[in-house]
Amino acid sequence: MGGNHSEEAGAQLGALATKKQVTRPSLLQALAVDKIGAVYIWIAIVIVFSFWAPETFPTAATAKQILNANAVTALAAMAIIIPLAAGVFDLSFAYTMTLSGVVVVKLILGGTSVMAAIVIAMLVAVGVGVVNAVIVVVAKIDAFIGTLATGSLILALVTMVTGGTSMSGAEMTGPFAKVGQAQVGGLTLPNVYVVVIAVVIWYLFEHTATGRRLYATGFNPDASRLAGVKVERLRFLSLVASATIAGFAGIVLSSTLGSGSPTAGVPYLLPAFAAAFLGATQLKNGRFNSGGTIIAVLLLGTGTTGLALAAAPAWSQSMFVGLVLIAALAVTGLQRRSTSSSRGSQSDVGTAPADHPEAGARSSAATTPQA
Amino acid sequence: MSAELIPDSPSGCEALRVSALSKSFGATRALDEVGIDVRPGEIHALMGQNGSGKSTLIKCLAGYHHPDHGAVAELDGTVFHLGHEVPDRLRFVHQDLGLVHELSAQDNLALRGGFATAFGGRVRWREQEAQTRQMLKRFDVDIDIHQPVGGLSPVERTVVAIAGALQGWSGDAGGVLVLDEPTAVLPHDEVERLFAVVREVRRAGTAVLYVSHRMDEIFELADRVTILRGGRLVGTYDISALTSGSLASLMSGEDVDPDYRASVDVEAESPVVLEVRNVSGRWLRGVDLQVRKGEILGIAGLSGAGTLELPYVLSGHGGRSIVTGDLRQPHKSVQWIPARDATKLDIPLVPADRQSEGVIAEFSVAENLTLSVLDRLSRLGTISKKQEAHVVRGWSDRLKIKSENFRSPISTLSGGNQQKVVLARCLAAEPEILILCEPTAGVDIGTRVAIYQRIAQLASDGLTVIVSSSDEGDLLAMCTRILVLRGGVVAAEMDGREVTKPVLVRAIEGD
Amino acid sequence: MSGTIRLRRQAMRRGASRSGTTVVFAVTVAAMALAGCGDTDNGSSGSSGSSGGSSSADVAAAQKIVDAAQTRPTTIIQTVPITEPIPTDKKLVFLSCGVETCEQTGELLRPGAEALGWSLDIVTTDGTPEQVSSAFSSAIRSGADAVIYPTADIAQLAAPLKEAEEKGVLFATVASLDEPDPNSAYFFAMGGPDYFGKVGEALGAKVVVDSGGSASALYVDLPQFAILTPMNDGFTSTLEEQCPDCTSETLDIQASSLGKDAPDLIVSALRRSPDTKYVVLSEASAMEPGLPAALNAAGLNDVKILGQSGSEQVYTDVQSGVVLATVQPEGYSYSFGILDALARKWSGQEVIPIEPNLLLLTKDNIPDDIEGRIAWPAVEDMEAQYLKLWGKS
Repeated sequence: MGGNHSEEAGAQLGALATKKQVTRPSLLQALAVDKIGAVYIWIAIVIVFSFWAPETFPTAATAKQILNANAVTALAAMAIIIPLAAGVFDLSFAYTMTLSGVVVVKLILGGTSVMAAIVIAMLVAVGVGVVNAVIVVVAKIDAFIGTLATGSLILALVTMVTGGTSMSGAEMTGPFAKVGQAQVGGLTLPNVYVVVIAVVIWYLFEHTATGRRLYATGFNPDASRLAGVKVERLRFLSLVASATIAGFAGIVLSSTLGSGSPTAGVPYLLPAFAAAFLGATQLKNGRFNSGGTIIAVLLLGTGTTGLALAAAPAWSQSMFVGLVLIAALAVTGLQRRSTSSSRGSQSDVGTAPADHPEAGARSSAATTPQA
Repeated sequence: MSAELIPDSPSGCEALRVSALSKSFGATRALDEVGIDVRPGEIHALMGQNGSGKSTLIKCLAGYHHPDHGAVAELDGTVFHLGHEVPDRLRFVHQDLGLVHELSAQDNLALRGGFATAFGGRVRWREQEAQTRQMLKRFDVDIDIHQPVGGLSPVERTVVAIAGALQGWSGDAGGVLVLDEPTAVLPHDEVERLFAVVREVRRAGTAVLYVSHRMDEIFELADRVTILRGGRLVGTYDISALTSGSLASLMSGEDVDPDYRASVDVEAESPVVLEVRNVSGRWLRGVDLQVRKGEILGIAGLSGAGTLELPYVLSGHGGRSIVTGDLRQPHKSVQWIPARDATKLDIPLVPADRQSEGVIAEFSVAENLTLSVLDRLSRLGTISKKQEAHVVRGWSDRLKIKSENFRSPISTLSGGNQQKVVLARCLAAEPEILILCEPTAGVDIGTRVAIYQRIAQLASDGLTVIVSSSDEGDLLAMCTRILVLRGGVVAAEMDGREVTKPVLVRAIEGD
Repeated sequence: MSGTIRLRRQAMRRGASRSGTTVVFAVTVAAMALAGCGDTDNGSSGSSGSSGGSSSADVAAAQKIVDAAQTRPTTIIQTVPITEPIPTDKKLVFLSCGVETCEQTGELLRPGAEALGWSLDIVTTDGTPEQVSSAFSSAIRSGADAVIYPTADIAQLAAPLKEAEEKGVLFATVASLDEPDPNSAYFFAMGGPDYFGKVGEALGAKVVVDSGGSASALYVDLPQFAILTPMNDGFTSTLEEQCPDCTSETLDIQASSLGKDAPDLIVSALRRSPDTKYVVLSEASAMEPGLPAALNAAGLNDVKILGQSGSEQVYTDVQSGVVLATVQPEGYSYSFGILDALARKWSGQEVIPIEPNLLLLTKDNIPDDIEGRIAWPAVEDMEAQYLKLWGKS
């Protein structure tokens, strides 16, 4: 529709009482369903499972089990929300996880010290990130396809390193096992890693100029460029960051598995993206964020463990994931739609010639957002 | 001066008649007992500023909103339930045209009107083609009906949209075609072609309800005009009885001078702050120019002359691979830098297309505004929220940005205020030079003048401004000097204070 | 507009989304209830304790089975020598199924094939029926005399088998549910349902012996691999016969859970029945990684792990005692057995069906050279003994 939406926007906004005395107090605002709808679903699930498996579910042991079982998934999800914030898909991270896992194991089995092996594996992961970044940002290949392609290349590397089979040995039960298996108060170390990384990412996104610019790049790279944001550089660094965190996750994973498996990271691809996207709907109204991602991981993980404790049939697992994703998104979206219909959507007529023949001339660097 | 209200025609003679139309959103009355009547076969303009209710009126007609109780509407003498049904003879072409750019004209038309099919749904292609050409022929436009419409020129697309809207018109004459801001996306030189199309629609006996901001178009095209202000009907007038001044005043409710010209003084010997040497790109073919401090320099020209490319090149966003030439800021350094590296000069640009290049819709007002100065607001990488608030409040006051809460999404602001936020973002970095592209695109007369005054104020405070615009009014109102580009080079230079519109237009079109 | 009207509109809007929220909650809960109404009884089998305590006769019988399984035999099962001349210009094609064990089995054919003067091509596939069928057809067209593909589903290979029939190409498989017909192209198979039943028996007997006649076991199955079902049957029926006080429960997991959720699902199942101290993995190489860590983290340190199949990782854990025992995959038995059958067929002698060996590896009998191992020859000099039978030594 052409014409002017803004006067209606203003009218409807007024109608929903923006006057200060009727504004929700901020605690209530923070607990609103449109901010943390997933948490409410999670509480509902916890209640249901507590009745369903009363002997086993509502215990501290269950809480620990859920946290321990999902820490690596959380790490994987942390890896990808950085490029996602910048509008870039990294589909290769699961293979990067696998690669760093097999590299570190191969080195340790070959006699390298645990510390050195970890450092080298991390450097390999950083290298993967740089390759991704060069392909996507410098060669300007679409990120979705580009990282799918690099994933394939990484898989080839993995096969080269492992010869196609899992690698293991007595060294796996030595100091390396502590990386993923040492416990702190009943919780495995990876939980600590998750918290640390989540806090760092939260701080980055919320409080730093770089984080703000990352979001800007993801939301509107053209406008960001005009505002002086170095869009290409941010996208580049975001891919390096995701590969680095994925590399770390892979090392932790192989420590937990006790082996370097050529297929270790692959099952984490979809759950990490599901958690990242579900997490974006929580807490920050559409922005990828670490807190929401953790909520999402735990929500999905609670279901898996709860269903298993309640001896539900195998097919219920996948059904649960699907339903919960829909429910959490719907609950969040329902409320949000009713409050945001009051906010005008597009602003009024302000388009000058987007069809101007010279429009294409500006910034051959202004490509469509890297999807 | 007073204009004469044409008395209402007796019922039964109008193509479209609406009365007692009100629409409230909660406590706010967007339309208050508004009425309009469109005579058969006339071109009837609907005008009003932002906030006048004109788009609400159109949306009610299109069935997008339900009006409040009591509205009465008739089309060709038949009553219809306004807002709940849209009669067949009431057709719309909205500003976004509703075309799928990847599909051909034929497919787009078929999307709306269906394909000519044989048994089993098989498309009869030859018949379809003939039908399509027939529909387009009456508008005297020659296009490849199989080419994706995204590759057509804007006016050709508009014609396709209009043809599509008029498909399957049962019977011959009568009915109303509503055109909502059809020229908003058209470059100036294509507007005449659109007028021909609109006149052809009228010739065929269909009335046209024509919504627009642009006064000169209304004067050229319309027979009568209905003016809304603040949700109320101001009146319906014969165009011949109005002048641009009276029309502007009726729309804004106060005395407005549509031929306003800002008074800006530039010292004769003020220093050169930007020098441009032999800059070329995709359309530019070797531009040389100099800009002095405190000037408001206008860039004029037809589309394709480089008027849109030049500002982007100067700002450093011109497409690195194809831009050649040098720039320098002589008062800072005698070194020339390649135009490719123009970002080093930190010349911000306020873009023409606010939607896609100006605001970041998902960001709050504050986040949009401060995006250019984040480094200044952060210490050790951390943004100081207090500093941020301080900067935002400062600019909100200075530019009079009206917003409830600057942490709310920028989409809650009106379009004009959003533009102010984009401007504030550019100014917050305290640049020496600012570039504006199409600053009054889609802006109504009252706000337009406010913009001119604001720019003039900024210039007199020491800012150097470069304005690129396809609207001569912008250039005449603000610029101290105007450069006319033709074929990618500077073809003429004029004193902004003394040039007149006909002279400027002639220079642009290149007689 | 009066204030009351405005409030009512607000309430309506909130109410709309509130009822929406309620609907969504209700749907979620209902769905979970539905899932719960499904079969919660995962095939809990095994008799609940009947009369008396464990009689030592039960344990002794089990002990016999265990001893047999844990002893490495010194002679191969095949005893009949091949006396007719064995043709040497034969081409073998091995189709791998995309999993590491498959590839390794293929390589194990090489020494024997070389000794017989036959060429061997190993073709990789991803295990999907389309790729396997098309690789099979290509092999036939390229002049193969015999095609070997493990864990074949004959129904899916109907088309290439017909081609093989027409061209006189032979086909052999292992670990398949489908019986061969010695007079057709699919002429030979090893390690069918009977064999896997015996594997299950051996594992069941081990549990009986190790627990002294009273144990609760969790059997983890992969229903998508039908050949493993006879193993489950063998396991549970052994427990029934030899250990009336023993119970077992089956946990089915999906192949998609392997490598990610499997350890967690097993931990949950163990927490459901705290008396269960034995976990039997129907496919240890896929299910074992990550399990010791998960058990540890959940505090289930006294649970013992057994399984079928192995990898370097599993064997490392067997050697250190983390895994109690595993039945090794009989790649060597299969390879030599197939070569033997082909030699008999092509030399005109009768093809003698034989079973693979069954070797249960524990800390005490596992060889030291674990690195890179999927399996060992059950008979240490298996190759030499077969060569002798073939008249090639």
